[in-house]
Amino acid sequence: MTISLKDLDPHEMNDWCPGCGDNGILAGVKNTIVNLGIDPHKMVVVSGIGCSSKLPNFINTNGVHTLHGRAIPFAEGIKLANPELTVIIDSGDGDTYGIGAGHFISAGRRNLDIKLFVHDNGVYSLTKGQASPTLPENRKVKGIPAPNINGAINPLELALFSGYTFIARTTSYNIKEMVDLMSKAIRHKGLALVDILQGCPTYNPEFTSSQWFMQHTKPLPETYDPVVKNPSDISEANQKKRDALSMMMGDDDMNIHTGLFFQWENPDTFESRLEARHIPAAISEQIADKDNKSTIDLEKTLSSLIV
Amino acid sequence: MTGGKQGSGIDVALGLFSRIMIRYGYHIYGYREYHSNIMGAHSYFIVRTTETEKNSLGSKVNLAVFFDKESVFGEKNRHGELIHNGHINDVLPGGTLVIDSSFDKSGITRNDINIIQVDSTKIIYAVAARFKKGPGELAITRNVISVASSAYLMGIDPDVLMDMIKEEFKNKPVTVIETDSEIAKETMGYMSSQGIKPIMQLQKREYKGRSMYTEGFTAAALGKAIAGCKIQIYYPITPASDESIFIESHPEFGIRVVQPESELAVICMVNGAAIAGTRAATSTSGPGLSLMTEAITYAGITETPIVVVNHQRGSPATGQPTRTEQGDLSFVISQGHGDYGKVVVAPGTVNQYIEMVANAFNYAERYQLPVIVLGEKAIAQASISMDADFVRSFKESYRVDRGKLNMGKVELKEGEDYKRFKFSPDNISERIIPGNPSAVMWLTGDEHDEYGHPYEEPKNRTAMMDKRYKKDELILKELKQSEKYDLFGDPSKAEILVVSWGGATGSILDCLESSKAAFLQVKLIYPLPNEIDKIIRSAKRVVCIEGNISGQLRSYIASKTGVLIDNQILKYNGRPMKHDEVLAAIERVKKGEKKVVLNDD
Repeated sequence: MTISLKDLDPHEMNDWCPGCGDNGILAGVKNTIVNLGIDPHKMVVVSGIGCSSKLPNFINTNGVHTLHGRAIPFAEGIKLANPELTVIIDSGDGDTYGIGAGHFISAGRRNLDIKLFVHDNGVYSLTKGQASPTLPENRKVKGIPAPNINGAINPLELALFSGYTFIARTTSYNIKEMVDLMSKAIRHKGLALVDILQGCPTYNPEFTSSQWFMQHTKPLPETYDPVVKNPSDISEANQKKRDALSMMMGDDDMNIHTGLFFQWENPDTFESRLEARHIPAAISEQIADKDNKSTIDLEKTLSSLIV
Repeated sequence: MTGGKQGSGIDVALGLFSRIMIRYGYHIYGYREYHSNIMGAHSYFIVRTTETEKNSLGSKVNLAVFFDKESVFGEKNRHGELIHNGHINDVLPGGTLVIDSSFDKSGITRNDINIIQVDSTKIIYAVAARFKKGPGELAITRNVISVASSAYLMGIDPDVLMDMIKEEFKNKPVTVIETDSEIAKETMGYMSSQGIKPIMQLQKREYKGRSMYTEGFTAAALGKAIAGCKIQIYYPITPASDESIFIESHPEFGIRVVQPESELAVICMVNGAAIAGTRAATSTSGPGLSLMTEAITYAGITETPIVVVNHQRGSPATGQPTRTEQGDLSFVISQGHGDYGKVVVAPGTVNQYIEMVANAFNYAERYQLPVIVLGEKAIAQASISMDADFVRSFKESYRVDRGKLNMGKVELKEGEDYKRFKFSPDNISERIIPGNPSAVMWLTGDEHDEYGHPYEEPKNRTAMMDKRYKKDELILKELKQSEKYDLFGDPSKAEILVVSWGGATGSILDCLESSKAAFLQVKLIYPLPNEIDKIIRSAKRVVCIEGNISGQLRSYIASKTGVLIDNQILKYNGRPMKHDEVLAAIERVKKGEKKVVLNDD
């Protein structure tokens, strides 16, 4: 389907701060939709709570702005009901890796075909800049009175150990790389994470500026191959995981890699598991006839209960 | 009544005995009591066998069979405190107690009951030798010995017993059926050889071949299937998991059952599935429902149709996982931060579970809001003989009502956005789902404009709050009387009017004839039917009966109507109300007692 950026234009006024990385990510999402020719009617953008999570209101697709930390299970419910929909999540690092961390990990056990685009700026901006789960220990940002006393988690490692089948990282300043990774993520059949290091010019300007990222990030080596070639070969998948892990583990924050770390088109998706049980997609089932009578045939069940 | 250590196959004995009674043409009402424990703690069940349909138990039994000492004589914990005082006290005068031959009878102080001793070990050794098995492997079959000795004493046809063993164990390996049949035969032979005479000859009645051995959770599942629920998400919790396990065991329902990581995930997935256009539900108990609160308010503000069945248990916190209580009413009617439209219904019997769970989906979609079904362990884990024709005729009469759901094209002018929350006189907007070819939709948990975008303007806020909250009026106008309440007798003529809800219903119905009371069962809890006020005011004397300490329905009715019901009968010891203790308490209230607290086991 041919879609133009204009078709995706928001009817709502975007209220992010000038220079906010969310603008870059919104541009990335829109260009990805255009790039892939996705019908906006058949797409849902799900979000949690925070600056990032306002994104669904600024794009002309179906949008579900949910609760803090809960975007993942909402998206899973939507996808379980209607596997035909393209379901993406735009949420923040606090939302996904903090209050929603349990869902983030458990989503890996299911490998549903949903895509997480995580806006990762190290701070809870909408509540004025408290530390998020990705802010390194001892880092002092504007919104906290003393350097961060908690340590940071590495979301890519967490995703790898949790069973994500597509793991990538980019920055909100690199639209080209972002669109490429987002497009690959959507084309990938299974659960995908694109962690997007994002500028917050208001509460974390020092460590999220374009200049800071230029100094601290670098693309994965050209020789690095993240893709599992034979999806049914577990040992190849395991080797690629080990390779990915070594690329994810930075010894310092001077060499943060960006790009695609791991991709495994594992045929064992949640939808395939349900199909194997012959339980069709919920939305496809006709629950009532023309007289609105229930279409369910209970006779088999009733006879199994009759003494 | 029988029981023993948890893990000794007590549920199987319940099913087996119930099936025999059903095949004999009787109605059964069964209930099990157990600890939150896998093996070792004391567990038992009672089956009431009657010619007409009943919905509760009495406090005492005619026949009890126990092969462990603790069950008979009681049990103390290591501090010397009572765990239970022994089922020997539960046998009616003139009743029969079957115990193991190994027990020393001299400790038995009751001389008003008939005691029969059965050598369960001897029976097991004999059968084990025949099958070349160790006796230890057959220790579990004491459950079958309990049932077979009961059947013998009741004069049951051995062929019916054998048939029901095949039926009960139909999903087990054939060797299980062989051994258990042999155990049953050996038991009956043993009793006969000992010169033990049956205590009765149970009359065989006509069996129409339509009675289903049904537990409350099965009924809830059937209600969901009839309604066209296609997604059930759950997190394990007693006593609610049975319902989800039953649904997953019946793939013919076409219901996708998923068990995610937490109750938070559960309720968000249910919301997501409902947003995408599926009839979706969960089933939980108090602690789970507490965790789900925030996302239930989300369904409230986004007008998303979800159904939550809360099989209440003893609360608060973990409370009493395996016991019953009606302690969640106050919580559920005001669940969450802020006000929003919702519906709360409370079935009182297993049959009502089917109807009210199925109707819940129509309310959810017609009024676009969360619907909470306040069930209870007393109903969910009660077992009855249900006429399959009741289910068939309910299904035939049920109409799927999806309200203003539009799966087709939406008429929009050029450049115009779809308004999911368009103001309308009845406060219900047209609803589309993602994937609609002509429009996209937005939802947000923030206060929003008609499009579903966050919007904080004060007049819009008032209008949106009104839109959601004032659905109450429409609901009260549209629901039929039988969906709102059941009224038995004439409150203005009866000496006393009983007002109640939920799991207390069965015991009240079962003593209605004797108590000569009028009875108002409130089925629609929220919004509270306007008629309640008038009915209560028309009565001479009123008592509110409920299974909680604070009298939650009573306070709620007072807050809505200004009428504080004078008298109360309460029970909060975790056990369901028995029809005879309820009857006695009603008589005490008639004589002027204001408050009676029930405490039967």
